Amino acid sequence: MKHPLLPTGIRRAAEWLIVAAAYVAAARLGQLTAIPPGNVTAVWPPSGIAVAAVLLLGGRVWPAIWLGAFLGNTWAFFDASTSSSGLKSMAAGSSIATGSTLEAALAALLLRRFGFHRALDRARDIFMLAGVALPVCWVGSSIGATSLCLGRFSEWHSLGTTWLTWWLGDAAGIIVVGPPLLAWGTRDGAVPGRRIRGDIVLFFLMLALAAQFIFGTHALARYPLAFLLPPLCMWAALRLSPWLMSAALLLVAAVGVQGTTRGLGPFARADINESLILLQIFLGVLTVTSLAVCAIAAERNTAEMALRGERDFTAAVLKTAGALVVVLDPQGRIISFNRACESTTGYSFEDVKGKCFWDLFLVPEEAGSVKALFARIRAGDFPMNHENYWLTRDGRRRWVDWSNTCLTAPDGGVRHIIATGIDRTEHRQAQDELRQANAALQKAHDELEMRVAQRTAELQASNRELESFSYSISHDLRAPLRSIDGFSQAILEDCEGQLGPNGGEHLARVRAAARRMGRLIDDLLKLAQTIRSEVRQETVDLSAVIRRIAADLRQQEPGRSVEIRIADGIVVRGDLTLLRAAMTNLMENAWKFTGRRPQAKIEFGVYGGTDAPFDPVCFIRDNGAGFDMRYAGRLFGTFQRLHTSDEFPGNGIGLASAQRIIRRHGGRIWAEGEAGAGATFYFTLGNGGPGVREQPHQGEGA
Amino acid sequence: MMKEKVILLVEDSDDDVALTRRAMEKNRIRNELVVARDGAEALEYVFGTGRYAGRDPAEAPALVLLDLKLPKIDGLEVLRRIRSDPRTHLYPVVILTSSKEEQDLVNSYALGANSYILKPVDFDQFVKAVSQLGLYWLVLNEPPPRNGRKCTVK
Repeated sequence: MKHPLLPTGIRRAAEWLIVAAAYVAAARLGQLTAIPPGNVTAVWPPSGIAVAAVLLLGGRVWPAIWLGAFLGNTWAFFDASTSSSGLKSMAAGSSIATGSTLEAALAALLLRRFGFHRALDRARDIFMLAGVALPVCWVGSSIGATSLCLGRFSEWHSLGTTWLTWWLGDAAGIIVVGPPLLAWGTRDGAVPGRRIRGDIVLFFLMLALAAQFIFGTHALARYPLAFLLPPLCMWAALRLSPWLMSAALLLVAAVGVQGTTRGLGPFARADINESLILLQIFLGVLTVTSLAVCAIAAERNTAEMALRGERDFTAAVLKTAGALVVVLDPQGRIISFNRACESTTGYSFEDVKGKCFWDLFLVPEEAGSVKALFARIRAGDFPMNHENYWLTRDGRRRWVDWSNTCLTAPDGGVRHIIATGIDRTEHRQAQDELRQANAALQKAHDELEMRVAQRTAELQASNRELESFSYSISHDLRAPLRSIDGFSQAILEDCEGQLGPNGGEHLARVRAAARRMGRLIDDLLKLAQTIRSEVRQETVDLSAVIRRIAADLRQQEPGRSVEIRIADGIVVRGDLTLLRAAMTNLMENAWKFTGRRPQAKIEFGVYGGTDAPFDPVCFIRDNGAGFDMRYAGRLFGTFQRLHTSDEFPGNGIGLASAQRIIRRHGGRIWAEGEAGAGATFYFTLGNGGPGVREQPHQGEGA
Repeated sequence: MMKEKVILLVEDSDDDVALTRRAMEKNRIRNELVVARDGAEALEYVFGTGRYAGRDPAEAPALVLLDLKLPKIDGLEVLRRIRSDPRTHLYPVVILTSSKEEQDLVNSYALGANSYILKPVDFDQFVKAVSQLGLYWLVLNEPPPRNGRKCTVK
């Protein structure tokens, strides 16, 4: 045997043992009432035990029932006088046991099929039990009575009586003993009345005393007072749970049987069997009606609880709902007014109960239209939504968005109007404010647009002016210079002899000054052009641009030895023409200021590549004259020069132009330097900065 | 050098006229120099009207030196009219101006200028420029034939 099965096996064996033992004990108890002993037993509680056992434990307990029935019955008539009589007793016993087992199994099967509740919490369960027990017990009684007659334990002529007694005994057993066992076995069913525990004792006492009074009192032996029991039982049934009630009825039955077997009570007849049959019919009817009432009460109780729960739930929902909920009767009187209504309006439900809503809440200008709406809703035009003001108790107005619907009576008439509202006052205010703000914004925007348009026009005008101004400069300012230079030259050539010792030199100075001013004007024009022209976006190979500038510089001054290193692959987005101009300025600057270095060096490179956390920074470094960092701020100013023209020629426009070009690209330019130790100009370009095709390494040597 | 066709100088500045004349002399350019002091006068010469009535417009000058900024009618307009008349549209026109404005350059070429020369401030360079101008336009360059307009392309 497998160990895991052992506990189950033991439990099942215990169940069987208990069922069998209970069956035998109940059978013996019933047989005590059989007069004369050995006769058919009128009271047969084991049938109830058997049905309850199958319903509670399942069909697998049948061997226990069979065994209990076999032992219980055989015990009553076992005749061991001869071996054949012994065998006969056992044959009859097993036949009866088979009938009893079949009976219980069939009852359980049918009840299950019909959807029987073992807790007996519905009236129909009681009727089902009685309705199944009565016909099913024909099986046990038929087999049992026939077996007794076949075994000569009973006479054939009394077969009818035996069968009837047997049938009623079994049925009563199921109806009276079954319910308490079933209800007790499934106590998870509704057990209302925990709180009336004190009543239970009183009801039990009362019923026991009444039963004793009716069935067991000599003084009243001949009075048919059985009718006293039903009202008492009904009373108890209304108050007790099904299982307590069935237990109480079992108690009554026990007292009744006990009294009746003693020849007392209203059912006492000369024939004790007859008495018991009558008693059982009475008890059966009493049990069925009482338990039915009990179940009905329980059902009603459950339904009431559910209803109350639902009502409480609804009330709680209404109470906690943020929405206003008002229920009106068809005359517009307030029937219900939830907490949101109270807090919004300042009225309590007591204040408004039964009053017409239009007398309390409507603002004068809307009263007419809202009343008309109400009339429409009443006439069946619902659901309907509308918005209107409600007046609060202190006279403030709340803007409420209402949804209205009606509850109708079965005849279609409107019984209640339910209005659910959401207080949208703040929302509406916010909307109004928003609208105002929007209007203001729009106005501001329009004004701004207008001002922008005005400014743009002004700017365009001033730009045009600037253009014609620089055109004039370009054309008119240079013409006189040309005359100065040209005619000075003419004097020098035509009047050479008359000029005197210094005349020639002076005229040469005049010419030089005119030419310088010509260049100045050219550079200024260039700068102005830089400021005005549009910045195109194209891919510019700065390395190539610088390389080209370097080559030009070398060509212009082939005599100089300058080491120029240019990092490869520095590619940027920007305007080629402008960037070339800026780079030219920077390179010319470097070239110029390294003019006095025997070992001049110029380097173009970049810090940071595409992976660097900062925008790449390009630089042009030289080892030229440098500058004092104190004057770094003046470096890029127009006409600002840190060196005299004697030291290094220049007009102070080149770096200013470069700065403007870099700035127009959204970039930044700055310089580091040391007087006599060279300068480095750094710049970035705003639109993503320079991209580097490959990491810069050493540039090309000079 | 050749003593042939006329050079038309359209120039409002006396100084520049004198300097141009001087530069031409220095370069021994002996062509007759006709000076128009504004755009209107230039057009009179070109189309043989007004004080130049009777001149045959088909007789192309050796060169038109045209300033842009002129009184009355500006240089670009003069150029446009020269280029839009079949009798004159093959005139060699060289813009000689102080303007470095990109717009002027673009417009001049768009209207069919043959060259664009910037008047330098430096007289020495100006002389050099005139020298090269003369060498190129008066010596090296082969002018269009007189009946060239008959077989113009569109």
